[in-house]
Amino acid sequence: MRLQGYQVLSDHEMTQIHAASLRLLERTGTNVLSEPALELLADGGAEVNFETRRVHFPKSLVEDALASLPSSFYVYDRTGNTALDIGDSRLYFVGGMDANYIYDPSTGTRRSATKQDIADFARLADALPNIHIVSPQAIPHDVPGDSALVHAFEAVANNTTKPIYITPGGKIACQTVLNMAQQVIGDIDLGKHSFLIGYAAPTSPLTWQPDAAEALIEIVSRGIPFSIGPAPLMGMISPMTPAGAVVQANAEQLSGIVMAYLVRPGTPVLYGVMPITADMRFGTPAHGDPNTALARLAGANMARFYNLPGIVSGPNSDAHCLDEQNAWEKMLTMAVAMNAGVNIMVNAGAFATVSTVSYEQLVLDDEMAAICQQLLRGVEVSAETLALDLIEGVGPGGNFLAQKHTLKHWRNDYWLPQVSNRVSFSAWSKAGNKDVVTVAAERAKKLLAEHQPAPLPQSTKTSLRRICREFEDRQRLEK
Amino acid sequence: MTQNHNLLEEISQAVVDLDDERVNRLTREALKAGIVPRLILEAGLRQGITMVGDSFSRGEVYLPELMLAAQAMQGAIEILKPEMAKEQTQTPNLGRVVMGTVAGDLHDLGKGLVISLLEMAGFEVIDLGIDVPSQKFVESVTQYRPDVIGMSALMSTTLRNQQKVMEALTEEGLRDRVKVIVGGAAVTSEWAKKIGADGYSDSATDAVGVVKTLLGQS
Repeated sequence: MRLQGYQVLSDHEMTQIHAASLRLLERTGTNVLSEPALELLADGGAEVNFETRRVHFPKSLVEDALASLPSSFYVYDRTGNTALDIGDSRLYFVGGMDANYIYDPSTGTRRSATKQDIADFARLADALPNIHIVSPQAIPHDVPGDSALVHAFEAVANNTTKPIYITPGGKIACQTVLNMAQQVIGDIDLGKHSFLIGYAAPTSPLTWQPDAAEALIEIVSRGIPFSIGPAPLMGMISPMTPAGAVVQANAEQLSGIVMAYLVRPGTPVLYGVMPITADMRFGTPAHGDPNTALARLAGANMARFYNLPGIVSGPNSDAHCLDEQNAWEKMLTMAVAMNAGVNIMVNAGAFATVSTVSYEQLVLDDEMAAICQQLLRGVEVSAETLALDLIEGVGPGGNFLAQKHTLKHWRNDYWLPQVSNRVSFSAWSKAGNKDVVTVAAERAKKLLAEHQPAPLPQSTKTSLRRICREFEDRQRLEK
Repeated sequence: MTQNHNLLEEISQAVVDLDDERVNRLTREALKAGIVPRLILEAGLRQGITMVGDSFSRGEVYLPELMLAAQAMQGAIEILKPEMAKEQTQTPNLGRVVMGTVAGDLHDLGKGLVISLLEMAGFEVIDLGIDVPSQKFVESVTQYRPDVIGMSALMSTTLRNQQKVMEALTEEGLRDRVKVIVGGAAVTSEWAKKIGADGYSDSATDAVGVVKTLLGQS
């Protein structure tokens, strides 16, 4: 059978959390700091105070919204072919996202990311088999900050044929990115065959900033799948207790689901509830903390409770370099998400509390993702796999090496690492005593030297350049 | 005198114990006993908060204790305020810091944390709030005469507003009159350097050290 999912909430407990979130939405509600979003909610039957910008959500509205959502959906590539079937327990990895720094493990230093880095990361992610969706790996700092996301999209679109994950801030940037996306796919209907997934998060506690609300409205109105990912720091912007954090973040999530429903019912929503432990010695987020893992596991259980595809941030680490802490935190966060049946994990390649990315890390995360995909296969039991005849045929004292059964299942069922070491000490020593980070650096270098995804037509590239430049000019004029 | 001394010590202890009700009650008693507000503040409340701050530095207590202690002190200061206004006492401090989140950015938490930590360290802080227009930062230099201005920006889209403030300060000829620190999730050390900020910290707990260094206090 397949690996059975981790569960930290019983059915009764999930019902309790659902009821508490509904009550919170009805009695206290959320702040929605966007005029168009307030109008949308008022027209849709929410109780809106336009002066205080507080919105109360009737229970029935939330339930209608939930009932409208699909439990799975397809994401397409830029030629309109099905690329990913998102749902059930299939797990896909997204590179990313929104980090500031690039780290070089060979020197132990970091620097601000550039647009060229975003292009290179996209090309590397395109080459790595277990990174399924590409996103701007970091924020480019060599372009104006208010145009950074538009530049980043240009860099990504030019360097991958895989689906793209976007986090555009604000309405205008969002419209610009969608305009660029339409150029990329030409005549294909973006709403019907989206190669994009959008993302925004409410600001805890219980607030929708204008940029997030308007990005949601803009993207969902085109029918593009959207992920909502409240990530409160427990004890700082949500209760300290995971259960309380989940009640609050679930309410925040549901308020976003209602907005998506009112914009365009049935548009796929990825459900994320991902609280983070705050380390109270420093007030800093601890993404690799076991309590973060538990709270996010509870969030993933809630996604299942609603029968919605789930999203979570990860694999995460708070380490500032690629060391043992990095590895165990990465594996912890990835394994928990996998076992919870999360469908999309966003942040491969990032570490240092999601502030930093490195080429080596993306290669290492690709390897870890492959390991987790193997675990998801579970153990198959059939006459063929029980192999009773085979055991009896080989008999006591024999061996199984020269058996067709062995060859067949080794070939079909087993996985070979790309960077993990498995050779003997003497062979390893002879090859230069390389640790896995060094090997990952070599793999990244090789892939970047060799891999060239199918380029966009020159005319499309030119349009993207033009749209990007026009956006930048417009921002400059507004200054 | 000894009795008064004991009362002040009890106030300190109540702050350390995070017992806001006791802090308030003892503060009123101290006023009734005729202790001057400034002494209550310095030898009672601030003494207590310093003890909590020291324990925090040693890793013995955590942020919630720090915040609860600050809240207890703040409550007592409200009680002292009318009396202090009568006396027109200036509370001595390590320096004055103006803090705000730049225009277009509504994030509050990190800035709030830095403010509490600065106040606890003995700085006077004026909070301009969130979504603060450049002009307001500029005006604060003449209005409050701060030693330091702190600007927070959480989003890459609002980063440039830190630069705008820097430019405006230069245009108005005020740049030399104040030190500027920047922080927030979108800010990098390179960015801080690029816009000509005097200081940058990537965590709230390090910010106090940055301010002290800038003012030659460490």
